Amino acid sequence: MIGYAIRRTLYGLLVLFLITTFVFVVLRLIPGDVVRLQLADAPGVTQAQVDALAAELGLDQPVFTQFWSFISGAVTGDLGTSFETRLPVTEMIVERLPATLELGLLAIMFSVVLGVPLGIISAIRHNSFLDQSLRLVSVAGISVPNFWLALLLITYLSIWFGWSQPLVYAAPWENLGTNLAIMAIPALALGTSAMAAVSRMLRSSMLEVTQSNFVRTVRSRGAPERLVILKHAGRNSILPVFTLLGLQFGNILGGTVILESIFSIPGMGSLIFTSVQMRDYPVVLGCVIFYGAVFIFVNLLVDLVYAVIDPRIRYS
Amino acid sequence: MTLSATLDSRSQGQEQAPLLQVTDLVKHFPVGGGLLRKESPPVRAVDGVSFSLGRGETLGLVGESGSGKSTLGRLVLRLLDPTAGSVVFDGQDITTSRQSQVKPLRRRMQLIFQDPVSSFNPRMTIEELLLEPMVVHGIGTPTERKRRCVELLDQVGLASSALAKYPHQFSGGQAQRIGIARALTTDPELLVCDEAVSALDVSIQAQVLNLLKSIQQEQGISFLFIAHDLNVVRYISDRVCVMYLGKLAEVGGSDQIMAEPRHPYTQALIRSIPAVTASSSRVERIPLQGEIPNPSRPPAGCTFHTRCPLRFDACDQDVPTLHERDGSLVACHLYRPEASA
Amino acid sequence: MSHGHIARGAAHDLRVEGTGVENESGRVLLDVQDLSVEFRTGGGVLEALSGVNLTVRQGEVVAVVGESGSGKSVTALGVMGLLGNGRVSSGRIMWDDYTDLATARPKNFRAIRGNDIAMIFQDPMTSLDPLYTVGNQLSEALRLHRRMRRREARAEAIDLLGMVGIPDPGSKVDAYPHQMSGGQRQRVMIAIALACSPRLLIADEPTTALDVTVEAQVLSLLRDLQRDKNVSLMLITHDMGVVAEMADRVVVFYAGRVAEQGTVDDILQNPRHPYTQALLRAIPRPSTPRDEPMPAIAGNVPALHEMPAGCRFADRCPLVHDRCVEQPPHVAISSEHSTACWLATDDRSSAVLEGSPA
Ligand SMILES: Nc1ncnc2c1ncn2[C@@H]1O[C@H](COP(=O)(O)OP(=O)(O)OP(=O)(O)O)[C@@H](O)[C@H]1O
Ligand SMILES: Nc1ncnc2c1ncn2[C@@H]1O[C@H](COP(=O)(O)OP(=O)(O)OP(=O)(O)O)[C@@H](O)[C@H]1O
Ligand code: SF4
Ligand SMILES: [Mg+2]
Ligand SMILES: [Mg+2]
Repeated sequence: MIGYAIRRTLYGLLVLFLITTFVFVVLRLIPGDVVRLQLADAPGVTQAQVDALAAELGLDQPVFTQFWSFISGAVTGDLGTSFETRLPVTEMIVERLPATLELGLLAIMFSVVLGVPLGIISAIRHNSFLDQSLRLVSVAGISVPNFWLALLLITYLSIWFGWSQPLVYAAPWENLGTNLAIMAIPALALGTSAMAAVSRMLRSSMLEVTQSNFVRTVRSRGAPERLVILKHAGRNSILPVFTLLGLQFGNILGGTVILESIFSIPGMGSLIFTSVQMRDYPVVLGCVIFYGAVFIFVNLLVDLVYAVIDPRIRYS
Repeated sequence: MTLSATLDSRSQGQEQAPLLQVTDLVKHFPVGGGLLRKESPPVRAVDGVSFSLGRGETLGLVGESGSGKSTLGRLVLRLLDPTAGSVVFDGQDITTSRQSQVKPLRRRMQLIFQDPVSSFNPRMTIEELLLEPMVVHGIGTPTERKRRCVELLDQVGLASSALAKYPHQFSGGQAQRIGIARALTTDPELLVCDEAVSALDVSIQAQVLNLLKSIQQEQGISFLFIAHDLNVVRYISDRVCVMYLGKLAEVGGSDQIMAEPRHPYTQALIRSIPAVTASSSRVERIPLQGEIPNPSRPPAGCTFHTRCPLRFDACDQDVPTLHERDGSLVACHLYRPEASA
Repeated sequence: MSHGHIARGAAHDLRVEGTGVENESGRVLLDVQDLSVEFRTGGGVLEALSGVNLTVRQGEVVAVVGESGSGKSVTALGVMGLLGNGRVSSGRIMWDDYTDLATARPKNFRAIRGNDIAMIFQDPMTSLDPLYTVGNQLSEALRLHRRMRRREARAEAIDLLGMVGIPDPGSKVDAYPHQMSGGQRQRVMIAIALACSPRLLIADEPTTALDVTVEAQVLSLLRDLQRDKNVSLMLITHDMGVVAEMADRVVVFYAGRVAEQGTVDDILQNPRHPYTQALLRAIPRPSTPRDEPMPAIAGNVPALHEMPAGCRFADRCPLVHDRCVEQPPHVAISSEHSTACWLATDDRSSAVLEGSPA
């Protein structure tokens, strides 16, 4: 199993390298030039100034050299320097990470805490009115764009309850109340589609498991329904949910870009958003690689959890 | 019907190479040894088994539950990778070939399960289940495939209305017949039947046995027939292998092995066959004495010596090997050539 | 082993003495009356059982045999209240004379399940939870019904595994189902069923996956249980050898109905129903010639949704006559050896007996 984890990690690194190359190339293809953008306001820019700035940013080098120097830096944890702030990208990521992490985890927690019980209820009372209505809600939850949902939530919360969000962001260790008040709506909006997907997936896998022979055996022992559902059916049907969560995590990471920008949350998502606007390639590249790494890591974790839950799976 | 059956399928004519040649096959399963627990010695599920199977021949495989029959069947089809030894199918060594080379052979060898329902995807209809192997192996046109489905169902004694149903809607016996129909979709040359008729009532069992025999006569299929009912095995097989704890105890012609079992384990097995008698003449079967040994730590010498009523000194130390005795092969010190002299 | 033989003979005499339905020979523990079961499927409602009568008395071994698909397992599942998408459409399942299991509430049922009635399922490969060790699943039963602590339950689980003949029970207790052979899983199932010392044990083909030596062991275990603890046994099986060895009475199913029932000697030595006769002929015996086809019954069971109006065996029966096709045969429920065949009530029964196997 350890050998498996190592192999998977190596494979993940390869994927990460490919992502890096791809993003690197794509960023160069986007129209617009960071040098012109930075010097735009200053009147009477000379070609010498342009060249000097380009040289300072390393943009005068051939693309391949730029790529190589980036990669060799990245291996040591140095993701380059921001064109905009001139700060090391790694440092910027570390500073922005907590907010995004909090948002992502809150979204996942929301999807699990609500999605799992809803899925179980749907499965136990399948085809009931409750199940039908939950199905409707889930389909809506999966298809509604999260930013639109977020805007809807803000609007109606203020209309109906006169509640509005604090305007200034606070880190959780500064003011937990303010922090949660700001985070609640984007986390809800981000987690909704994952929550809906989780409850659907759990419903169908649990339905299948509850009709299986071994659940019948457990019932034949006179086990109370609670034990049947939670211990036996639950553990057997949660496996596909883990896979789903791993994949949903990608959606959630993607969603942070827009939602953090809308809610002015100083996380990596909004960093990516502004950096793209400013053609701040090193920051965009660094953040994307970081997201990619997190995604790959989470899915590796899912596979390992699988092996812990299901004794039939022994990776070798 | 020849009685001089031996390790090689001589009855099928010497000039023709056997369809299947198994040599010194070994399969060990690791035990325990997750991330945290220490690994204990492996289960020796199959521990040095050799036999061959001719074209159109049926080889019965019987033995103690847990003696490695299913494992052997799955090794033959390369559904499991062997620890050592070789399986040669129609001249091609499939133990060392890559999975991609084995795949075209899959069409030519099929497995019928001990337990058909669990091997079916519960969400596929019987029609989809029957079509799948044909689609995978690119057999026939869609209309031909459909016709073949109906034909096969009829052959195994099910109405074509079964096509639209799901596996759980069938009784154990019906499901088993679907399993047989599915295995026949690709016109295999070798069929491993792992307790294919155990779940059937005797009249349908008789039907299925007749079906298997007639298919064999028409298409020359070879069977590796694993079962517990010795009367059934005797009826269908040309030769019979008896397994005990991962090894072959005895190989012989099926009538001969039933009439004159040599190995003490075979004798115990045949003594245990329940007879259909009146309650007044009812005798309780005397179960074989002793504990079934742990397959991770098989006894030294003859693995049967812990339970053998005839054991003697040599049995605890020397491992008996298969020796010919009046046309049968027996792995027991009682029949060693020097002992019989 | 000879004492067992004597005990068995005595039980047999007792039962023959009281040829009535209910009497002192052993009180009726399970009384299935006119039971019909339907399944709701995509293609409509299917009736899998149509008016089945069956009794099991205290300490008695009743063998249930018959065509595969004839409703043997469905009867057992009906008694256990585990029909899934099926339901009891008519009839009663009286347990111990006072509870009708067909209408019992889930809560009352749960107390009976596992405690009073336990079941061993047909399908050992899929009947255990793949994610828990067999020890865990065994202890679960012990902790549920015998209120044992974790430690005690584990020790007891190891004992039970040893009792059903699992080698090296101390380490197999920590094995997962996929690490065991078919026969070993079946014995684990038996151990779980025995965990709570039930009064009635329903065993659906308990030895199908076992080789004959282990089968002999398991059957002798079941017999000891029946003899020492007076447990009743409803034994569903295809193996007539097992029937001959174990049963006091035999119930023969065909196509969702009981075709014939009687004492083990009635059925095996003197079968009256043409289906039973054909079934007995199809048993593979050491003397069955290998170069001839087995004597199978020609034709197939009618599908559930196209059951004929008359006798359900009519289109396969060598002795069919007009009346069979028109009307379902009449059965005398009260007699000890009852046959659902017109020949049994009509005068032609002697003709059948000549054709029956010795
Ligand atoms: N995946 C596995 N991991 C560990 N041990 C295994 C595994 N599969 C089988 N075994 C062990 O290998 C031995 C042989 O198993 P196998 O299923 O081949 O027996 P069998 O002869 O088919 O028995 P049965 O007649 O009961 O089906 C058994 O002791 C079993 O516990
Ligand atoms: N869940 C279900 N849905 C629909 N039909 C079912 C269901 N379960 C069983 N049946 C049908 O009920 C009939 C009786 O099935 P049952 O399992 O009782 O047969 P059986 O006598 O036990 O046969 P076997 O000896 O093959 O196990 C079969 O025709 C089967 O197709
Ligand atoms: S070798 Fe010895 S112990 Fe083994 S079967 Fe023969 S007599 Fe018995
Ligand atoms: Mg097996
Ligand atoms: Mg059944």
